[in-house]
Amino acid sequence: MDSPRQPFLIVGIGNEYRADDSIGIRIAARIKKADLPQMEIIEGISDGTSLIALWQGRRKVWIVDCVLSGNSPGKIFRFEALHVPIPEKLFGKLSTHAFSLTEAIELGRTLNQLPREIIVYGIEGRNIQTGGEITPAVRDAAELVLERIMAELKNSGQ
Amino acid sequence: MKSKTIKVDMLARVEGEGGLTVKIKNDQVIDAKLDIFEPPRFFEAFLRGRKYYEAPDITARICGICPIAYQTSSVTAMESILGISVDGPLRDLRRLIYCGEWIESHALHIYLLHAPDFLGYEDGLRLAKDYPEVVGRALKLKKIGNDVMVFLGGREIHPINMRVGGFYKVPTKKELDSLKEPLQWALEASLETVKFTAGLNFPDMERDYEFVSLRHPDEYPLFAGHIYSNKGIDIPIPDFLKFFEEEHVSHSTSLHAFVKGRGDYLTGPMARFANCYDQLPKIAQKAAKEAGLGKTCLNPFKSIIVRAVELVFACHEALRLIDNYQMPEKPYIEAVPREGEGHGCSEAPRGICYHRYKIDNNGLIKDARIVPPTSQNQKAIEKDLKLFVQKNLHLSDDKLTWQCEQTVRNYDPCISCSCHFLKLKVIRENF
Repeated sequence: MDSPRQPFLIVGIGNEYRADDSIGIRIAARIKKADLPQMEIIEGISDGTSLIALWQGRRKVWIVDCVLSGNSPGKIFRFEALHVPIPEKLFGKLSTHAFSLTEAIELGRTLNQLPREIIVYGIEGRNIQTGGEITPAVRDAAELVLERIMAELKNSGQ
Repeated sequence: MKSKTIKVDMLARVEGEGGLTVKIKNDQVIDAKLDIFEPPRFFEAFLRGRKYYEAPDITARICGICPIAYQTSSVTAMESILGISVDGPLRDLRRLIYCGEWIESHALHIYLLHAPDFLGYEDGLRLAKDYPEVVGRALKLKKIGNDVMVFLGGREIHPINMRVGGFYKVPTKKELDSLKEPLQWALEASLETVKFTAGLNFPDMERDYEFVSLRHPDEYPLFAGHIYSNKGIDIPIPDFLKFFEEEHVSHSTSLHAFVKGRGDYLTGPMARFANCYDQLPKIAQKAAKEAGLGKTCLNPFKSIIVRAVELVFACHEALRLIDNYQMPEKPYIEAVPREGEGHGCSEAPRGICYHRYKIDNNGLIKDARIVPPTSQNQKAIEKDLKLFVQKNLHLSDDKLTWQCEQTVRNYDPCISCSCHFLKLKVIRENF
């Protein structure tokens, strides 16, 4: 049932109808348009545990999400998650029936099911109202994150 | 004389916001409220003016975990207006993708969200440190459910391949057969799951529930049949609103549903099990019996076993559907829009999801009504909480608070369908 895996994976997380929360999905969609070889793009997941199945066997994985930590909108966070847990304050909790990104990475670590490299980008959002407008600073930050990921892809031999 | 308030504060991130308050005075529980602060999502309003065929794709976005339930309820409602009946392999494929959703949702809830409560772990992650094989099984099971959904739905979140009249694209027999081997593993893992859940310790609590589910003469229900209750309701789906009503309550932005003239009811695995036990395949009945369940389960904490029995059903049913599959000539039945009103109801993993639509001659939606399962279970959750706290006043605040949360989780609630949890706090007042 599984098709052969592409070595590179980008996952955008969020809700496409909730303004700034859609930013990870929008970045993933933009990279998808570039139609790069050896690359799989996932625009949205149902819950964090899905990531574990998705990232197994990959050479390098990027995950992009909106965060709400009280910083200025548009602030960019970047973590290399292979050896160090990502902050729960940014990517933690959670719903009654879903796993957070922090938990998914730690679960993958516990079960020895992480990819060879895992980069997490967070963009500070402000407005996550259904149907709301994306905050301009978040939009600008998304362009920067997009550029950085493209550069990292190039440096990874993509 | 003791008074205290058990309070579960809301958590604000992303899709749902909810909380819990239990008030105790003179050792009597005087109130239990499931507080929902999720802003109303206005899906019903923004469906108005859209084309009838957009309803499945719009409503799928109400929930990331159970999109198939929303899609199925909406397509069956629309099909009843258009006068088409989706039968044969197309209907079977619809049941198959629904089984995928049950496998995914039940595996996640049983192992990673509910089991930690019983085993004394704060969450699924901590459970995984001590039980890596069990959690590994959960993830594999969940992935197989996901794979069925992606295979037929096109993608994991908000599937795009279902449409009014059938599917945009259907698989060949050979393509579908590729799902068999993982599903056979999943069936075995589901039987192990029943044994695993049967070995847990359960709080002693039973309640005389009104169980409401779909009931069908020939099959364990997913999206067809009558709306049925063990207290005498047996009605066609279009009569739902004649017997059930929703009301606003001040502590919730979600409506509370109740049986007219009676009150709270329970929908979901325990209701389906009680109302439709005879329709379960023998392998699921046998597993239930060996797990110590009768034909009805009245202990809400044992819903975890019932969910596992339904996992057995879903895997078995998926394999049966694949074995019988013959690729249809056309992936969907075409229909011309016409004015009318239609009703659809399907069994989301956590209970019945009812939809009603009115469309005009051009196929534009004039009116939409959606009653999700969690809004139907809220009154039952509050009654369970009241009873549980009353029976367990001797417990420490920490333990009581923990088990209150567990009591809510018995229902696998989805508050963004109708919340997201939860940080718990106990405020005790002595006077």
